[in-house]
Amino acid sequence: MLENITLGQYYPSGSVVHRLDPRMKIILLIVYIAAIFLADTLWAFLPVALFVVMCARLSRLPVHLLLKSLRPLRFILIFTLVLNVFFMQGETVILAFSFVRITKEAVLTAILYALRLIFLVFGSSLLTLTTAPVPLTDGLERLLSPLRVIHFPSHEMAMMMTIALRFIPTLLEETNKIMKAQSARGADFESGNLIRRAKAMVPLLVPLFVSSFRRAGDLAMAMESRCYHGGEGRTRLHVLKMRRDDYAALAITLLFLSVIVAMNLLL
Amino acid sequence: MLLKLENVSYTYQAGSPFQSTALKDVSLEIHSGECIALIGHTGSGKSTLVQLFNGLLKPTSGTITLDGEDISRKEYDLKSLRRRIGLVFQYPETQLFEETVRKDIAFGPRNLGLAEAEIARRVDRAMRLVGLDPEGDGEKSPFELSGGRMRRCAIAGVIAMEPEMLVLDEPAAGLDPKGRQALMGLIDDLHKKGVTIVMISHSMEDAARYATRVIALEHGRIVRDGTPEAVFSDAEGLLNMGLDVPDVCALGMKLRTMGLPFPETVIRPQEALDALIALLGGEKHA
Repeated sequence: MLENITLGQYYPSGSVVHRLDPRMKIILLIVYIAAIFLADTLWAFLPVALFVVMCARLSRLPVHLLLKSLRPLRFILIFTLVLNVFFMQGETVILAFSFVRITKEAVLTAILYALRLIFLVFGSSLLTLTTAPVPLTDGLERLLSPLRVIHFPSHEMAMMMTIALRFIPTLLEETNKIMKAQSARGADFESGNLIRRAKAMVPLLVPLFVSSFRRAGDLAMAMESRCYHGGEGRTRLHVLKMRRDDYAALAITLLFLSVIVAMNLLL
Repeated sequence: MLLKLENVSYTYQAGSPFQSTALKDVSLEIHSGECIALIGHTGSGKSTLVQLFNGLLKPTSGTITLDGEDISRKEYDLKSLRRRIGLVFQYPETQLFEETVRKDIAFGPRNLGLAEAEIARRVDRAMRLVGLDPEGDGEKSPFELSGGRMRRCAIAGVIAMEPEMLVLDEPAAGLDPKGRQALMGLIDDLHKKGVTIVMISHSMEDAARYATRVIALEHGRIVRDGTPEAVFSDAEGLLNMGLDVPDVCALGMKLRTMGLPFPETVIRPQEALDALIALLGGEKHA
């Protein structure tokens, strides 16, 4: 049952998008998000869709992966659609039925909201599908590092994220092992009512906590014995460097943003 | 009791791009009263094999029967299977979780649905067997115990289920020499009490000394299966596969290349001593 959990969703295809600087990709995502929030007509979503399709093609990602990222969102999508359609007030009534009044404006807003959500997810999925977790946290750290002047612990945050990501597969493996060991002692994790099942988790969770704390202690020791002392003065194995491709990507995205702004002004 | 594997194969994550075959076409029979040492490299399929024994893993192909009944069938009562075949994992102390040693050891028997009096009897017995004091240690937290005693406490948790067959995955890994000796003594005791033993071991000395049968696995296949004498007498063959042999066998090989008639079937230190004395023309050691 535990083998089905895929961690992160990085899909390595070695495309030009994969090779972009993670910092640039994060910045591009922010620009893109700004653009879809500026887009307030249905027409404006045409260039948005084109932009996403272009990025997906450039990243050489299978389409179903991108579509799959919508799955967790399906309830929120339906919820916002329904809510907006029924509760937005407008002028042009297209359907009236006792106390229910559906207006043209409401339907339009509902569709716009839904589209925004969908493209928001597409955009952020494009980032996580094309960027491995470690470069991603690396990029985030570098982008947040100016905030150190206000004592924001950007290095520590990135280090914690990296460690957490690193240990998820280890913990899964450990969980699997302890589950088997307890099953060999006759433990039953799969039957009984909710309370029984919750109780059955104790023999699994206690050993898991114990080993996690021990592991954390060991890791801290190992890091210290390799002279880790926080981010101060630390040099990097992989130095992030903006290249021509990064600036080209920035230019394209800014062009895309201006198209949206222009459509807003003209339409 | 007869556990029989016929043409068993096991593939992890079958059908996915990550699939890897751990066991290929393994057939073997385990009879009551045997003490089997399972040897082989890391990744040779030993751990997978023992998890098939009590139904934690189901074979990808082939059948496993216990006393003639197929244990992979859905209707087979896994609880009764696990009562009969106890499995001690590697580093079993990582599975301890209860507040007291007694409660932890009672976890298995309690899952079997036994009466309180019977559970108490079994816990006492298991604790004595592994060398823990039911009075002194029983109410301690298992996390207070030393490493070696934690290991014994965890093993007691399986012994308390009173299985007919006890399977141990590297029971002595990471123990100091004294702890190791105590543990091997315990396993030998259980064997003498009539429990069938299967142990995965990287110590060829232990295999030669305690086992009645040695099975060697390599790349998911059984490559040797026989008495310790039969398996270890072909020291060269084992070494060529990259497997280890008892020190005595390595010594014997050296002596034979020097032209001395040191018998291949000598695999234990005591026998080696006798053989050496015989070689030197002395009296047989008493």
